[in-house]
Amino acid sequence: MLQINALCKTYPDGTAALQQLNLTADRGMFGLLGPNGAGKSSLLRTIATLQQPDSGELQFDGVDLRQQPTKLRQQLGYLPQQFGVYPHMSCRALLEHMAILKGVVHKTYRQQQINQLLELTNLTAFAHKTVAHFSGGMRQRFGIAQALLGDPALIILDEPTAGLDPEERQRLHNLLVGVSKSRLVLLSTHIVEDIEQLCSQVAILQAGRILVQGDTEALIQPLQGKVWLAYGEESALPAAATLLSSTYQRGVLLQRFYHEKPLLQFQNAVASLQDRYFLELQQHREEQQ
Amino acid sequence: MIWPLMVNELKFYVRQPLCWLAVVLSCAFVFLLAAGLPGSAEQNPLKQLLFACSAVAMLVLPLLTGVLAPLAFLREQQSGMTELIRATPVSHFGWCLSRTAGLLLLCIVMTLLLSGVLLFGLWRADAVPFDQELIGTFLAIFLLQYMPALLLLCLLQLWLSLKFGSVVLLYVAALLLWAGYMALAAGTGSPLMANSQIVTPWLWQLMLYSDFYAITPLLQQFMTGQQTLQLDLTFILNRLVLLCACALLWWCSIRIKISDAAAAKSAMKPVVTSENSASTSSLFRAVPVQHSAFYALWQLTTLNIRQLMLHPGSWLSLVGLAALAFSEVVSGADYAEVMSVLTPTSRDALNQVMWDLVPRCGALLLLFWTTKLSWLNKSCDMHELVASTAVSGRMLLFSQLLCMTVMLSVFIALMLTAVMAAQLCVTSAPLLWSEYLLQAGYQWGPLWLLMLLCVSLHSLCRHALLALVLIVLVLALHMSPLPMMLGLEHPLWLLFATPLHAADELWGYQSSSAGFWPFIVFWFLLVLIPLTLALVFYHRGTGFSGPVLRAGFTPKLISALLFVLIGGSWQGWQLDHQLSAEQPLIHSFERLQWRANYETEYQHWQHKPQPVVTAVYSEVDFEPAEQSARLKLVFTLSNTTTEPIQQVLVGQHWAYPLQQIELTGAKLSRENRQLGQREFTFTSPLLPGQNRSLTVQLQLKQSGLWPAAMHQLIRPDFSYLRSVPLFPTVGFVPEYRIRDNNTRTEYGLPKLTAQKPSEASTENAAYQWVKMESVISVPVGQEAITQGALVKQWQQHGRSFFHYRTSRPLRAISAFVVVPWQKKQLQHGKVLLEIYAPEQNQSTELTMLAMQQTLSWFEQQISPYRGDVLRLVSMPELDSGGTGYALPQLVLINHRVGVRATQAADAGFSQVYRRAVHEVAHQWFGHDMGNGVPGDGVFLVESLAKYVELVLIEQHFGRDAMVALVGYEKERFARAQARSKSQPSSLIDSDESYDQYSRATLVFARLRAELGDQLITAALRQLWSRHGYPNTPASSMDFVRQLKAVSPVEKHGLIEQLLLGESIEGLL
Repeated sequence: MLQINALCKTYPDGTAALQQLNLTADRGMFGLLGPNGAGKSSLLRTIATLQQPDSGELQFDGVDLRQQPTKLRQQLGYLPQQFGVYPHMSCRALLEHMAILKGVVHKTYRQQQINQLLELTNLTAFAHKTVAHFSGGMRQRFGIAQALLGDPALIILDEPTAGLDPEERQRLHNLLVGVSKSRLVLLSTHIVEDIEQLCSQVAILQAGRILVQGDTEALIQPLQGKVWLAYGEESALPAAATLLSSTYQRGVLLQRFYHEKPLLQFQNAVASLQDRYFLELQQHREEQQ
Repeated sequence: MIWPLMVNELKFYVRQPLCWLAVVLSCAFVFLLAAGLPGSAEQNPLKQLLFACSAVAMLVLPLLTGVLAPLAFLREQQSGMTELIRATPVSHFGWCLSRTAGLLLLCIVMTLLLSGVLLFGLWRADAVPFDQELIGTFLAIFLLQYMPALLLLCLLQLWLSLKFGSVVLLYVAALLLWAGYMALAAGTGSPLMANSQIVTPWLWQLMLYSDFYAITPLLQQFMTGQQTLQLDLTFILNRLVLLCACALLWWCSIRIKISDAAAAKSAMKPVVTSENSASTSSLFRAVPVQHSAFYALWQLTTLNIRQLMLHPGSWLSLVGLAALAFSEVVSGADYAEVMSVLTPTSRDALNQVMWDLVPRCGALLLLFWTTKLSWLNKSCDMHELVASTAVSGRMLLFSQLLCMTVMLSVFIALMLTAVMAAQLCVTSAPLLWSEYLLQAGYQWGPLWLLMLLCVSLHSLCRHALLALVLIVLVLALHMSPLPMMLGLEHPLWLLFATPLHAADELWGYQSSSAGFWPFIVFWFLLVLIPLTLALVFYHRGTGFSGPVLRAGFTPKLISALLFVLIGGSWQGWQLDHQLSAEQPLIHSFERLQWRANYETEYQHWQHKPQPVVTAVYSEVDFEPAEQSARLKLVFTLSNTTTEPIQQVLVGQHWAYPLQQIELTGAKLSRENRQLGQREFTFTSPLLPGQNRSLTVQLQLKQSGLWPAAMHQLIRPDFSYLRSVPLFPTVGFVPEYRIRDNNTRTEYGLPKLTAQKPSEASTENAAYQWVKMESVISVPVGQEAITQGALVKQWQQHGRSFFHYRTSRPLRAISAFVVVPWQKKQLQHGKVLLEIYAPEQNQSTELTMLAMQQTLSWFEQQISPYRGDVLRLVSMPELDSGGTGYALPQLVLINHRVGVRATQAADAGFSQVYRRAVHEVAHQWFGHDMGNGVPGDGVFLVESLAKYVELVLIEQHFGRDAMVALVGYEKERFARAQARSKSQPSSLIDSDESYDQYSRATLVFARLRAELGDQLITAALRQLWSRHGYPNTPASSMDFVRQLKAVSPVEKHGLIEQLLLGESIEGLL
């Protein structure tokens, strides 16, 4: 569905946000992973036609988005990382407004969908409250609801779970899984666990480039049996090991590291997408040095 | 603790672009202000400095503090840092103190900078000398006027920001303070406002103690004739009241605890918390999508309107302006002039607000609304959500234009409703719906175009600040005197302005309506360019990049832009061509250069004997409907010298080129087209006593693009042509020379020795009087009027012809008037009196009475009227037209104050009667005496006419009426001389109109009391017998000498003191 070739974008201050970026995504949920400043939001804004790339190809369902941005916007649901709302407008009124802008002009359908989305995002009780007065989590749920208005073929969600409590986060996951069956959902988040749970495809970005892209399972598989755990203070890691993460588990230092060959003195761990993510970043840093 | 906080504040301000922008713009404004003040050594430097400083205080300080206050007090709120800042250990008191002190310090530094620019500008314009006294005065002004005012403004902004926490409210408050003070200044006779006057005494008293710039108490000092700045009791009390207000504001501010303010904010915006409910099992279902431009446009427009209307700044402004319009109409619709009222019509009611309040406040509202609307999505952080929808940029822009069109219409409709309600309150005159609709349309059009430009600029600029700066620049050119101050005199520099003026009851919009549509079409074509660009390149709130810009300039767009550009240029060229053809667009420095060249080239003609014009025969064909006229003029040139004349210099005015000039017995020997001068050489010299004929033709055509103005105007319902400067001149004209010696030096001319009227000599004086004969043709139904008796009237070829002839010579100023009204006649002795007005009513009756009584008084006391007929014609309101104008044997009186007006219930005398007496008196003072001595002042003209007013009003309306007139003039004089920056001078020598009229009234009231009318009229009789035509003309000093000659010796000192002394002691 989405085809990106050699996409470049440099901001007026000289920041190269996207550099020869290539990406292919098909129906379903697609996760974008990357550290702060990797270019995730730039990529999403460019796909959402909010900014024009300097060069490269960008196609969705065969439509060139640089030439026909409106074609995409007609089938786009977008939740930016940060957004605000108009003052003096209730949740329902603002959803009505956005629905009409998105082409949901049939009143009955519109009402039905708004009711349904309010229910799905657990906002029914607050439909007549002013959105500007919502708490952060509620506003985020409103954002998700507006992104789903109409019949979007491409849904771009930039940090959708920011500010959501665990229960709402779970509710969103369930919703997204249902939604993504017939459409492409591009999900950008720092919570690797979310992507691992939800996305069948994933891409890891760093410095405006895709480091690795592919089926989530296929990305994790090569690491199975090669991720090790070291407990206790300052464990001496083997020379060929790549430290993936240092965390504490109930006050005890826990180091996860990657090592190709079996190590008897360390405990083997089940590899996760996060391990692959850290490994890619580490390798990229080493390449840069 | 406070000092580091203040340093912190200043470091913050230094990094804010808005501060630097404020510095640059305010400095530029103050420099232009200083440059626009005329400088002269004859002006009082103290007043000049004080008024300039006061103007800066009034115009700059409220806006400066208003712009900077949100930075000082609401920056946390704007940048989402409120909680971070509140978590610091700075107490509320410390916060208030550091922020207020920081803002005050910044304003003081900026004001010092502005003062430096002002002083430099004044010094450069020679308006003030740069000496120790000036520095001392400036320091006093800074400490006593600027500092307390700044403190008050800063504290007011602090309190408002703590109380309401709204940036817009701070801006609105600053704007209201700015406009409100100017309105109060206009209502209390402030010298800073043109045509201001004291509306009610209580307002004056109130401002004495509550004027936070202390201009009113200072003005009061000058009204008593004082020429230096003094700290009197009123001034000290004024400053104490201000300091008390400051203390109150400070006390109120520190009592608003941060927690209270936060609570208030949270009360306004309750945070709704989520209530987790059971998870739902329903699945997301998509719905059909059908993109509809209509639905999207409707939705966006209604949302935009709702957002604007719900904004407190909008409805507060709308309600406030409607209230202001209502009060303006209620208080001023029946005002004709001081002591005169009229029955207001819908047009009068509308004129109160539709040509001043509505366009100015409408433009400011547009600035506010378009800024708010264009950046609404961005300010709400909704821009990406909206931009990611399928609604095109054009649709977003159309919705904004539609919304603004509705908002503009609501504003106009609201103002009309307020006027309508006020009209129903003050008069029983019927509502003229057509007039309401017409005026609404006339105001709506230019504002709508301005709105298109504002929205376009906002759509094209990525930064709101840049768009705002551009729009403010446009507004400055649109409605401020900036173009004139910059020397941009072409009408097209007044962006989005049309020549249209308020309608007059006499002739509606005839003065300027012809120029409305051509200008509107030009501005529309001009605004189409940014609008087209905006439709293509609208940034949608998310910005645009180079590739989009490059791709956007398609051949289709470039062709469209070129088409509009060519259309706009063509229309602009047409306008410029028509404007220039009617009135050459000559810059002021070009006029000065013309004068300098004229003097250099032709001053030697001053000493050559030249013939004088002794008779003028005019054939004038008027076409009022086409706004044109053809003139054929035959001048009889006579050699009144004792030597033969070989050559004659004939000149023309640059605006009125002559055609087919022929001088019998002479040939054109030299012509200077640039200066419009022709030198004729006689084939045989013109011997003393001989005559020759000079024939010229003149074609006048007025497009109507220039508003009608004195003294050449041709319109369907009123036409008036005066011979000066239409007719050719003979010989060198000394009046063309540049008078100001500084300017003369600039143009390389030697200095002129200015002769005061008290030193004027009658040595070279001579009357320039002529006999006149005129045949005027007009369309049937129109009346042609000029000087002399109507010898014959007939109709031929569908036109009416009028043949006039004067029986004796009269002052050589011919005038031709055409009106569609019938006259009212009355034979007064040998003189036929005629009044031409659209209606004959009690005011025209009173005017006729005034004409008779004035003629009778002059005949009995001084000298009989020299003409056969005296005509008085109603004239419409005109720029610089005044309320009355006297020509020889012909008087023009403003229709509004002369025909429609009646005496107010509480007035001590009738202005209608007074003005008629005054203008008729000019047939003696001005056109019989006082027109022969070059360089003499206007004492013999205006001041003596004021004397006649006193006498006739007392004679026919009693002593109380005369005392009321004296009281009225005393008040006018006190106010005017307090505002004046001129150095004091004697009544005889004064160039100031307030001396020539008001002071003269007070002086003659005193002379009448001390000497009596008998002595004064005896002196005047002597003057006529010695200096009346054709004797040697009289100067003002001749009157003084005659008055002293007939008065007892002990009164000579008083006469000299009143007429020749500079002091005004005893007059006020």
